[in-house]
Amino acid sequence: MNKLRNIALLLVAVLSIQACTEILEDVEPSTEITPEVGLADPGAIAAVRANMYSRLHAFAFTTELMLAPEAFADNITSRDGSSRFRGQAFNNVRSGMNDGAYGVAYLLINDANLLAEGIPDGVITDALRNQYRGEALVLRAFAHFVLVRGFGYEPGQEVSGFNLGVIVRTEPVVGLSDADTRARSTNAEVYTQMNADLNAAIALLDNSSSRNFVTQSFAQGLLARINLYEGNHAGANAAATAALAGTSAALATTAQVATMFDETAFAINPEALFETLLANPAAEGQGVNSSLNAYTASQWVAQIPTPGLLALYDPADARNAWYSACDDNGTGPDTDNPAQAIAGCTAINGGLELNKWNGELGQFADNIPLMRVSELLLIQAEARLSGGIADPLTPINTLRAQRGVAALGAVTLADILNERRMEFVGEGQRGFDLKRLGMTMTKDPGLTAPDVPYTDFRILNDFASGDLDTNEDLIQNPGY
Amino acid sequence: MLLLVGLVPAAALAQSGVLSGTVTDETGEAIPGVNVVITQLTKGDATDVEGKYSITNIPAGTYTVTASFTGYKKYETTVQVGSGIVTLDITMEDDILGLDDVVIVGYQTVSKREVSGAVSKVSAKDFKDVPVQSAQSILQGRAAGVQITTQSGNPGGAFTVTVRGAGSINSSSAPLYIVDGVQVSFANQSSQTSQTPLNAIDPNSIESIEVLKDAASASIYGANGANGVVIITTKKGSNTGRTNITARSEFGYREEISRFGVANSQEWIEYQIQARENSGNVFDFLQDNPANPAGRRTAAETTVRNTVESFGHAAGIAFADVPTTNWQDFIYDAGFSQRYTLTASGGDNDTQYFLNGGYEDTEGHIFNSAFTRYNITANLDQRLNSKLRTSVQINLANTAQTGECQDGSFINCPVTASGFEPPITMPFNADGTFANTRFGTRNNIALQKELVRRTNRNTQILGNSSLTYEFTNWLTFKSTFGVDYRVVSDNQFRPPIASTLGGQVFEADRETTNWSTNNVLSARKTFSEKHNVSGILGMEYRRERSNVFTSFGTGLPNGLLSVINATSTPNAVSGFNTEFRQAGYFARANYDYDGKYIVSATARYDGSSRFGSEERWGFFPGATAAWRLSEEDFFKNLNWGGVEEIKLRVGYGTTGNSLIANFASRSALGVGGSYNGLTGLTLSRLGNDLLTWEEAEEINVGLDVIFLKGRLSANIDAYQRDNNELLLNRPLPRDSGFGGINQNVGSVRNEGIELQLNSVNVDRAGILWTTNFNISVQRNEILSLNEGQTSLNGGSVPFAVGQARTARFIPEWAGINPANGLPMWYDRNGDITYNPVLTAGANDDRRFFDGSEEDVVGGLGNTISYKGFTFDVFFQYSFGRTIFMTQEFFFGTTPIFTTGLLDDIERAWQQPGDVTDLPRVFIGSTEPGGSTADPRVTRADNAYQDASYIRLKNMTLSYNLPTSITEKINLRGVRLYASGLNLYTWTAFTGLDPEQSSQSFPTALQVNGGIEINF
Repeated sequence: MNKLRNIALLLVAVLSIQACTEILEDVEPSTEITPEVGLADPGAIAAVRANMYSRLHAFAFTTELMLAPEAFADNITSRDGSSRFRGQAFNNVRSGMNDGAYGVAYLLINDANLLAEGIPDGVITDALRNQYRGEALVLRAFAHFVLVRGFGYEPGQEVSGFNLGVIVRTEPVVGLSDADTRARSTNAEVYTQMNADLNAAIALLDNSSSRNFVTQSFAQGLLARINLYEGNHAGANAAATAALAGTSAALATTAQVATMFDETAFAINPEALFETLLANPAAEGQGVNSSLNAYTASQWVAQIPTPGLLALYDPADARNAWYSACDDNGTGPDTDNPAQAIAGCTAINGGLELNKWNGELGQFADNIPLMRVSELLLIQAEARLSGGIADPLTPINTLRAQRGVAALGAVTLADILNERRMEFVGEGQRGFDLKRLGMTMTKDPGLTAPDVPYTDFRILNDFASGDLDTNEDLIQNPGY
Repeated sequence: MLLLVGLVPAAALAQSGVLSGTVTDETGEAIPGVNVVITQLTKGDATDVEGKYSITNIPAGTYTVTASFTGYKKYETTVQVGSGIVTLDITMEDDILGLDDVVIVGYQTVSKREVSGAVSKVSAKDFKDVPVQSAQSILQGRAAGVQITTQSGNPGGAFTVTVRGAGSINSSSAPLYIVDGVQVSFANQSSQTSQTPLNAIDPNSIESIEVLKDAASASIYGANGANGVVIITTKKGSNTGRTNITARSEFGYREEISRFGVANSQEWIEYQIQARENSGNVFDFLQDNPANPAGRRTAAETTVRNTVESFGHAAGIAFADVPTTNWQDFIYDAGFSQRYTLTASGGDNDTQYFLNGGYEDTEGHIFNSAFTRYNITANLDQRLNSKLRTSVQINLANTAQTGECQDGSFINCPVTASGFEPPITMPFNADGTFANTRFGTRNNIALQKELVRRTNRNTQILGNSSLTYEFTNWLTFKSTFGVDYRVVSDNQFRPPIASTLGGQVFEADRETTNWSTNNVLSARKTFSEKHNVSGILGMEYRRERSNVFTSFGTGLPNGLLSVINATSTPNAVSGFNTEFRQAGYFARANYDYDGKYIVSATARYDGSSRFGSEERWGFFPGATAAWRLSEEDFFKNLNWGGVEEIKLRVGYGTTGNSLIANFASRSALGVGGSYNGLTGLTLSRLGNDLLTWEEAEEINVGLDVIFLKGRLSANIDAYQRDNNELLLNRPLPRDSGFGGINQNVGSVRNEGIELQLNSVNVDRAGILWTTNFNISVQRNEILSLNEGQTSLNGGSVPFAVGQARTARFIPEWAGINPANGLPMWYDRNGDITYNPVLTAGANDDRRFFDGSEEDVVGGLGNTISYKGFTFDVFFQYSFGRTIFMTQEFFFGTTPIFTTGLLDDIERAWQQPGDVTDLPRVFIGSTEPGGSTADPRVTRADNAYQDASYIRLKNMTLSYNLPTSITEKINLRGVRLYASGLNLYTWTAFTGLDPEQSSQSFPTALQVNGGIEINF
């Protein structure tokens, strides 16, 4: 009997645990929460906003945004021995102008859509909700803009009538059913959406925030840029003028030009309408393999200014201070360091590198202005010149005065484009300036790679085969 | 001896008997350490060095006496003991084939005869003197069907182990490891070096390693059994009443097995110049004039001269005078090792113990790499009363590794750097400061060697305690509590001079607590002498939690302090914890009729917190049957004299693979990037409530034959395993903000044949020569993916339906055009092309080539012993793996990167008519006219090499001093041995090590010598 009793007790002990399927419960991740919990909490909403901004740290929104379009054109080129953005310099198929933005731009858009559309009522104040919504609409427009200018022609500049833009997303994807397959909108539809987003945002925003966040003036400035791209000169001029009137940013003086990108001299670039803050400056910023600094002034020095660009500058031009001897000076303000001289620069441009991105915040770490006052002035000049609006000369001469060079007596489109080359070197404008105007993608005449005609299929980025496989409605660009 | 003789009369006076005698083998040699036991009294003795035993105080009666010793058949006889001395001399028969071996099959042991699934066993005697750090390397080549490749030659480095081929695509294919009943966690290892948690166990403490290979056997481990199960069992004490103390010291040496052949400075300079000449010196437009070839040469020389001078050579130095640095001399540094162990084991009927303490200090063969281990194993078994026994098994280990950046094309990894650095760069300037090198001073490998320190310390506790209650002689209950606790501490230190951040320190602590309990009821009973029934019923519960904390600080006052506290800015801190829980209920029933028909059925009901709320629990059944044809009367009547055993086996089972991320099934707002000091949250994953384990279904058929009177045995197994419900990421359109969602779809089939042969070639005149050989042939194929999907990606390893998992989708190389030095490929029609199409579509020129999986693996071991000498030689082989040649193909044969060149560059095409395999040197990816100049960017089959090899893996010679000598110095035994590891490799592979990827830390050639003393 004892034996039986023991066996019975044992079976009870073993099998009783069987009932408790809860033994697998109460296991929660430490770095995640469920969306339902998160969006009902003000702190978590602020974190969603922080994440939206942090998307701008991505390689495609920093180094690639700033360098690939320039490397494909004639402002910078690949140093002998380096392979970073070399394909652009040699017109290799699929090198692309900022094609890496395709994935990360939609990550930014989804964050923005969640912030703009997904916050329940009453969790945060209406004023805050409006501000967040305004910021989200601006960054949503920014991301769509980065995509549409890389993957489609500007309205009115289509080659063979090919007018597809990119897929537009204006609702957050929170569940599987939201992740539907969509076709590309036309370029005009994308521009309409961006105009609508920016106009809505301008109404929601003011200029009280730090310029490290989206402000009303940045929204106006971005609208000016977008209007210029779509050939709406009156709109561009008006928006640029409004942005200049409202912003606390100001044109750098001649004395400030040399150090305006130096974070140790200015906490924020005096000209920046919006400057993204680096995530963790002391921890190597974007890191040795990704940072603007490592590509242009340190470590790899993969992309250096072309002789054609350097030849544009007047000797008196204050912007000559943006160049220095081609060496790996590590962190901090540039000090020429012959012991770390980089081979291969001398042969190309006499041995110069670009020092806009100089890692003053820490090794490989720079904050990056996404729009500066000087751009607003040059948008005004160009919009007025091309749109037949009065006085294109004043804005460009205002800029030139502070750059230490003589005023122009008359202005042509070529003058404005040259000024833009000199002003925005390493800021990702040049290749898209040529494209939006339907111009040939010129190469520096000293280099062997041939120019790329505007009608060449390489002017547009290609969609990756994985994206085409996943979405049958996605139409590839012509020629790929 | 005097004392013993004196005792005998006293025992006789007590009116009880004495049983004594000598145990010898078939050649008459004494066998020490044999347990001679009187079964009824559970009383016994172990033989001394002369093979003598003596059991005293035996009440008069008739007894069953057994004698057992590993490697011999169990001896059993009946004796009559009266009041005097009964002499029983025992001759043990060799059991070279181990039919009486016990085999651990998961929560239960059975004899080898009873095994009906596919189980491989490697015993201590098979790896006695092999100088390795972990159990995994022991298995390499020794267990049929287990594929093992070294991940790193860093001492203590990790291994990639797959059992019968990898069946998963996205989840791990690593088997489940169990040490003394405790499932071992492999989570959160060091980031500073390559390692395995199994380093905690001194291989000297291991008694056996069993591998459950087929799903029917592994189904007892349910949702964790799909990749096979490796069961490691440590040694235990014995009930002989005698203490065995063994001390062992070992010393060793290790060096690299091969090196890159590299170009010297003059060759390097010449090819750099040629390349610039050939390519029209594209960047030197200021000086270049294509119309003037002499000018082109001058311009190219000027460019290269600038490069040479930038590395610290005097201005204007003649190219002929530029010295050559052999960077490989710089990174390879022969290592020495020492290893000491002290073992005590013994016990009586109530208490048995095995204690092992060890210290090992092994230097790697690349600078700054080393492994040290302090370990204690304490295994204790104690009988509490006639029904209750308890046991504690504990492994404590403190291991430390100094490591190097291990592999991959990183400029600061020594092996990579030794290939990347051109010969013209130098470690030091003339004044002794660190020189500028290809990737700048801060990546000068001399600076890495002298100033940068990567250290790793691990504290591990791996143990269990159990309580066994014996209800009757056929029913027992065992409750086990297991702990696997591991703290992995990393430190990387760069003093101010080696850092642009004013010095930097990285520290990490990763703590993993993995505890488990299992409770098992076991029964074994024979009815009517022919019906043998056994079975188990049990449950298991496991929880694993990890805490990870990492920190990074910059700004050190000097190079002397290397902790976070010494940094001025402790600026990057991150920490997280993660957890999973699993539970299972299992049962096994075995029935065997008269040793002829053996059937076994297994079932497990398993659940895991990792899976979706709708699919958290699953059922995993398995069944095997075996027929011992040789036991049938009709067979015996055939009188096939030589055939001792024929056993047919068949098995079918299902298992699961739950090695996925802990929270992969849940939708999440996860931590993302941070902005302006605030950490972001983002929609990081779409949830799937239906997410569950991957499921494996396997059928196994086997045949075991023993013939030539036991001189030859063969085990053949054939299997087909389908891994279904694979966890794949179903791609979503990227414009949704998500790359995809985890779903259970897709299936991979593995099938293969394994053959294991054991033979006794010579067993006469004191010479014993045995051979064991195994071979496994294996293939796999992807059966299905997401619905309608033909391949997972468009890359060079696309995971395509109908192809092997690792099959490569690349164009076929057609060689170099002898007329112009341009690379050529075959297009889809088999015609030559300069520009193969590498994108999907009708014009795609790619086709499938064999991938990185091994097709045929195995080993061949021979052991010859004579008198005290034993000679072991073991070969291990692998065929069919192909490897991407990072250095040999991608970096080392092109001047494009101005990195080091291999001497292969001599084969570069020079002039029309040259028949060679390397194109003319060129800077740029397209030649004028648009043809592809650089085969590196069009990775074809010539980018990969077949890494088949046969390796003389291990050779050992040992000598037992004759007892006549050891007696004089009062020792029970002295053994001297010498062994070598990775002594020679036969291969056509031109890389450093066919076991590894191209730029990894290669395995070492090792030579060891040791002495073992028994007290």
